[in-house]
Amino acid sequence: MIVRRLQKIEFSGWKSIAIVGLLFGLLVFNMHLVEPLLQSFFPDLDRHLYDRASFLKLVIEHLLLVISSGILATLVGVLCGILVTRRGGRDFLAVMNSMASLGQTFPPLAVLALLVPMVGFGAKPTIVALFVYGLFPIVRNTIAGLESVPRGPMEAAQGMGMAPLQILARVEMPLSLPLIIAGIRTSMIINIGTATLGATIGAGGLGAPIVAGLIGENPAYVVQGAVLVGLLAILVDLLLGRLDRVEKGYGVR
Amino acid sequence: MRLLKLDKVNLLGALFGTLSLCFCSFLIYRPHRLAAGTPHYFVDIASWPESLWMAALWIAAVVASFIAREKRPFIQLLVATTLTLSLFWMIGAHSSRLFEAAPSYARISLGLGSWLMFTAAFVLFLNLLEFLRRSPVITCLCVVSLCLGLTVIWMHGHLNHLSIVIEFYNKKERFMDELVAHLTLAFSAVGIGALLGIPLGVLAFKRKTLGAPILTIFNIVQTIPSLALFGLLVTPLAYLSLQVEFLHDVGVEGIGWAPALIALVLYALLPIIRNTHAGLGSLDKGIIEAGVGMGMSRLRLLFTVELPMIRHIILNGVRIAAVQSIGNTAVAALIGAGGFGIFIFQGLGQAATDLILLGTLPIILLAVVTDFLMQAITFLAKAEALK
Amino acid sequence: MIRFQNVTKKYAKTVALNNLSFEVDKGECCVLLGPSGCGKSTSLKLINRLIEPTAGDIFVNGENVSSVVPEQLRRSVGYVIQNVGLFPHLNVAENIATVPKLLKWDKARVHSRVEELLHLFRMSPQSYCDRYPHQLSGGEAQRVGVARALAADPAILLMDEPFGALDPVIRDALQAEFRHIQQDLKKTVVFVTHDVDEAIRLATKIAVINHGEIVQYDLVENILTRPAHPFISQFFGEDRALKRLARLSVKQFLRKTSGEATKIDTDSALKLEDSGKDALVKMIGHKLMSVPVVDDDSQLLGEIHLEDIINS
Repeated sequence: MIVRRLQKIEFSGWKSIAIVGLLFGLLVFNMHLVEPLLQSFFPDLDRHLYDRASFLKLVIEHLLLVISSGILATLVGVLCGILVTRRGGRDFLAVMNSMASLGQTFPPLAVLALLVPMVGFGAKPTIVALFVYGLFPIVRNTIAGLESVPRGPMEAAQGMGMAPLQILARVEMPLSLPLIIAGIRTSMIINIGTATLGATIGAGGLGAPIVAGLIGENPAYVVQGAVLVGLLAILVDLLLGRLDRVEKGYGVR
Repeated sequence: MRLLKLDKVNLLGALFGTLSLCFCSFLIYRPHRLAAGTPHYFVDIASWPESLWMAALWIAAVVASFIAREKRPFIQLLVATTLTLSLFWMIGAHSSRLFEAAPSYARISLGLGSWLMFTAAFVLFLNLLEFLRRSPVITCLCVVSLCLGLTVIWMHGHLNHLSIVIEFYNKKERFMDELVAHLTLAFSAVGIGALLGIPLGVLAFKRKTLGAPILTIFNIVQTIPSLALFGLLVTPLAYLSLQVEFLHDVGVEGIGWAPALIALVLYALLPIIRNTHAGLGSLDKGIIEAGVGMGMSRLRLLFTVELPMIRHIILNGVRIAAVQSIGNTAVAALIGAGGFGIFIFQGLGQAATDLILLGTLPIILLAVVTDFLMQAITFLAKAEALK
Repeated sequence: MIRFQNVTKKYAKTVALNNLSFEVDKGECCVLLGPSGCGKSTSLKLINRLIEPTAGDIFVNGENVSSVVPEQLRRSVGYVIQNVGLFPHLNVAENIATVPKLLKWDKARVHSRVEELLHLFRMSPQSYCDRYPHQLSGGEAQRVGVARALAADPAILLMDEPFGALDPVIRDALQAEFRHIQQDLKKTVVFVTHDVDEAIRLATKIAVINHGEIVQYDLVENILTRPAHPFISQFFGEDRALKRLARLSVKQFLRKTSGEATKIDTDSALKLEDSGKDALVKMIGHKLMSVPVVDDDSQLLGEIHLEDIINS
């Protein structure tokens, strides 16, 4: 019964985006509404609401970390992908590809921790780690996307007198966009998680209540941070998935 | 003309290495474990012959970009191998020399230049990947000589004065314990994930009504950050442990291995379910119809035809799950599950670089090696499936 | 219009084209015919500089192509390829408008040109403009491909096995349509194919190429009746006489009847647009030495005699 009903709901639809978004917004601005609930769950605690910073501030910090590094990673990653698929850069294609897949196997926490001795504590190493870590899926997917453009349209574009840059902008990029966006989506989701870990090196964000709760043995804090960051990740995933679908509207695949 | 085409990747790597040798710090000296470091440059601390040797090797690497194509890979491989071993040797020799002249609690660690030179040497190897793949004998020779060389340098006690090695010896027993803890946790999660995930993947494929919800649910689980999922499991498990005596007796608690294992299994499930599901979907319908036509039962067909044919696809899912699991286990140290994450978080807490490295390097190594081994297994399974 | 002068193309060790010289006049359809890998596609791509020759010169309109910017050259030469190469992310109208847009035509002109071309290929603009390539059948897609090549009204059209991937029925229809359009537009066409029937059907002149060299370059009629080399007789097959007949119209063999018009109603009758091969088929099928020819109203026009066909 439940299963049948679940099947009918398309989880990536606008409706679920609205529900998740509403729930997220409600909790960010009105966490005190759930205080009674937390009190009944954790009667032994003195404090139930995380009050070292407003949740709005934490969300903004979190998003700033992810978005600033995400934009940088997208720019650099797509550029790298484009360069190694041009005639002059093709020699670097294989090495770039194997470096990106190798980089993806590096655990995010390890990358983050390695940067602390070099850059110091706080938001800076987190942004660098998110940038570096976010690069790999974007580079890989950009390369995969550009390489998957069928020969026919490429040859036709060249034969009709498009200059290399025009071919890139009008044929290659539009055709590889779905894969590039999928790469950005993967990168963003991983980075929302990695940014949460940033709280362990003092970068703030929604990981802060979780870390504070784990260290201070206050499970109520943990729940608040975890629920918010979980909802945020799901929301961003849904939104980017939507974008992915809009791009696929012309139905190439 | 075509044969002389220059090797851009090799050239870039070699130039990068040469610059790192000349202009970046080789070793870093700290009077004690937590003090700020002073950089030492290679040219300053090395003798004339040593400087000449290292410079000559990097220049040889640069020159190797221009040689004719047939002989090029051999020479490049030779240079890269010699370079890597020499680098280790030089690091050992100079760290020992610096250490002798310093108080016993002084620490010597690798400078930026050393890291960059290792990276450059790595790029030289990476560039030869295609060549190495084609000639297994030479690859084996190269790997053996690298291992032998490193063993000699290690046995010689050459590296014993590097701070990370000192840190390792100080914490050797703890290190081994955490290694076991890390591996046990990560791989038992993948094992359980495979035991649950493959049947779930089959179920999702065979019963379409269940397929969509199963995939959707685990997709959502996958998007939740690991720290959040670990945190979310602490409370319910603590509650269960209080209520159910049996669980308490087997060691299930709000913190520790129990929530970590559950979260890790949940993460491991998606890649395995997804690959099983996609693998079954990729099978040629004709083969299944032929099986049914020959009078095979559904279950027999599944075990003797369908699953063996998609073994490599499932294994690829297991590979993704395993690499991810090793990384996430590091985070699980925060909820008291042990593993190398402990060193990382202790190191971060004390701002102790060596401790951080003692945690991160083995994790990265574990992930990379697991990835490589699983890829090799997947490759063999695929070759067999296509036979 | 197009002139190859001692053109040679070498790849590493193999010679793709060896000292090629030939000329295509304005309004002709020159078919480059040969087995696969003979260098015919290479020759075509040399014209719009997708490939550069190792030696020799190619002139288009008296101008050496090596002195023209490749992109400029390509915009003035239509190009159709075998796998169509429509841009999957653009709709039919946008696909056809590609070159006009590159040439910076104004919107209204582009729009009217797109409609004109769709009409030419008997596709209604209302129902086709907004469709995407994956919503077209193979035949429709290749029609759009040819329309796209004609968009900026180039004097020259290069076609690289354009109908090769289509099934026979649709290929026949498109060949007929192309011949029809070519009669109106009088483009200078260079057409690459390995299909002998297609070559005979569409060509003014055929250049038979083998191993990178031209074996014979002549009018279709001459190639069929006077093959210059055993390779050509073999390549065109024993039935080349039949193939030639397929090109000839019954008009050439018609013996007009004098006297008043009579209406004839028999299925052995031929029509004026039928070919000599059709006449032969009728004669064999009906065991006749001569068959009548009628117009659209079944009025008798004359007769075809077997001896005329055999002696042609």
